[in-house]
Amino acid sequence: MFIGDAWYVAAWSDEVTAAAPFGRRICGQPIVLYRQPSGRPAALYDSCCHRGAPLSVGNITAQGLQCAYHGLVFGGDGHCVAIPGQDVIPKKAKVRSYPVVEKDQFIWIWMGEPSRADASLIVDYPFHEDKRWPHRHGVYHVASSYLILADNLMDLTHLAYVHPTNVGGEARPLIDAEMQVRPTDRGVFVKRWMANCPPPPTYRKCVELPERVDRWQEFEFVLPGTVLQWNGAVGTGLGAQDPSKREGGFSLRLLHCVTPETETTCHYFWSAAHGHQADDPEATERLCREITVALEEDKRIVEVQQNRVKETGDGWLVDIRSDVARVAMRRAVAKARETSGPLMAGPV
Amino acid sequence: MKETLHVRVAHKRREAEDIVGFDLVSPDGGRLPSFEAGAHIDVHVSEGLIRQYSLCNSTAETDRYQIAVLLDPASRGGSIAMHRAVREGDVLRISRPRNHFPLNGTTGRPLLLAGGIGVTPILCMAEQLAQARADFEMHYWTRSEAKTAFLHRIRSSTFAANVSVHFDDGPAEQHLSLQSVLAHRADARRAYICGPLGFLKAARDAASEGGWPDECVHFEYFKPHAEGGLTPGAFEVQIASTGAVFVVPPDKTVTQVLAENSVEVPVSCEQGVCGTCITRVLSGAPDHRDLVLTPEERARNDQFTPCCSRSSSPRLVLDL
Repeated sequence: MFIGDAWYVAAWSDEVTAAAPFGRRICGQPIVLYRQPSGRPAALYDSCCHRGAPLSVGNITAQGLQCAYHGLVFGGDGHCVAIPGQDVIPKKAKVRSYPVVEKDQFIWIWMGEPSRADASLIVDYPFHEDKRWPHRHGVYHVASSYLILADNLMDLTHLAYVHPTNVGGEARPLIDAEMQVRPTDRGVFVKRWMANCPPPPTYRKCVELPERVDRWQEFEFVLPGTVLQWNGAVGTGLGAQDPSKREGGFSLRLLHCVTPETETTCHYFWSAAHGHQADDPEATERLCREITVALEEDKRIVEVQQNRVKETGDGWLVDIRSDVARVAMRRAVAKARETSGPLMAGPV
Repeated sequence: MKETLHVRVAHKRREAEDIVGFDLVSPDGGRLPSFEAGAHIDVHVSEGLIRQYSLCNSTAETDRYQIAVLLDPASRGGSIAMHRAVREGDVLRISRPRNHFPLNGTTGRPLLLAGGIGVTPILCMAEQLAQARADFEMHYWTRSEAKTAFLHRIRSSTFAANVSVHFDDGPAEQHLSLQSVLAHRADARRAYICGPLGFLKAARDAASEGGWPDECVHFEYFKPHAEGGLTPGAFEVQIASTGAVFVVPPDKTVTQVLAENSVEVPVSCEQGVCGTCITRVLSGAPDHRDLVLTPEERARNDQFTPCCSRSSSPRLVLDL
């Protein structure tokens, strides 16, 4: 069961063009995304009201989105605007349209009752447009539920075992990190602090660092599936607990937006931005190579995990101490499910 | 807890019907460790019998601690001993003052609410606010004038005009409900509330109805405490459906004791992470030691994790 009253990332802006529509399943619903002649993106239920063919194999015309089967044309509001060979357009000739907003290089889609779509609830992420934080981004299709992937993002001791050769590094500091977990209005904020430890391999490859550093990891989970992450390290004892004293070392902002595809699969939108060496394009490439290796390591473990949990269910699983933030995230999701209005499902 | 000191009972006097007050001073007449309004001390009444009492004198005083003790009809040791056995001149062992109920600043016209013997920390707050020349509003509810401790002290104080006393058996025009006092909250205002459990529960409901954010309402559980029998760190749990009562000793968890008595509570992580065992609490004040409830959920005291949390009140009644 998915949260209806929520903005999900439907696509990166650069995935949605005026050249051709494209289809993506979101929260179990087949959705067609396309850019209207005005440049504004639109999202419709991906099925023509005539014979049910997917609109995502159709064409974008000056009038609207044209079905590839018998040529019916639909406007961004889902209403049929043209039917070849007849003047009458039946009132019933329409498909569901979903509110979309383009912001921070994402197309966000509201899956609940359209009148409740409040764009001010969309997460702010100014770093995609900030020259001081050059970034790369991408999207993976992951064969795990979006919550299993969110679990991975909220449990940071896995870095010691899944990513020892890149972003994780030595296990002990990761396990012993001081952790603060604070519930927020729409999720949970987690701060982890690792003092006086060796920098992980990725950090060393990207910047010059002393033998001992202080590391910070800050994570904010925002419903339904966004995690804003800021990680980094500077020489030990330089006071990096204070965010204004984090320059001169390694500084990485990751944005993770996890959108359910089905109950057991999801779309994983990510971006990696660096706050060090902002004027060196090679630094961005170097970081991105490291990060994609780590993301693929995550994808591999959560996919085999999902496969097993499909077989056993998750009722028998036992939480451990490092699950505090993850449990807080799951509780926020459970509460949102209880209080949310329904998901807008079906073609009309 | 290790840091105890000895004090001499300099004065013992009747403050009201069933309430005696004590002035505790340093045996050598010297200064005592300082304290803030809302602080309490542990009094080692006799071997193995420890009771907490709030300090009720002015924090400006450095030579004495003042406490007041209500004789609890259900007493199984503590208040009876304080009333009958402890005499002027006796030397008692106490802890240094500790404060779980501090004032958060003096601005915003703090609202002080006391029920019965819960007046002790509230009076100390009133003294501190008056000394800081801060405006505040205090209400004090008691059964009757005869059972009202510190009435003369309040009426002759510099802050008498800030205090309204309400007697249950008094004329109707001086009655005032918690609901009406807590009906509207002004911005930045905080409330400090102390009294018996029933009073606190009513106050919590009234505050929540009046739209007070949890973090602006501060409660002190004036404990009609673990009288008698129980060793320190032990408490009782009662199963609401059957009435059965079990003692939880300091070295066992609630879920262990329940399992030994064939009361099944589902448990998973055993350390307050997962929330599987969360159980509703119908009365009593849990001592929350989990990592799963939010601060607001903990403050409501209507649920707890029996796998690791304990009790601040002598008994918890569980919705099992």
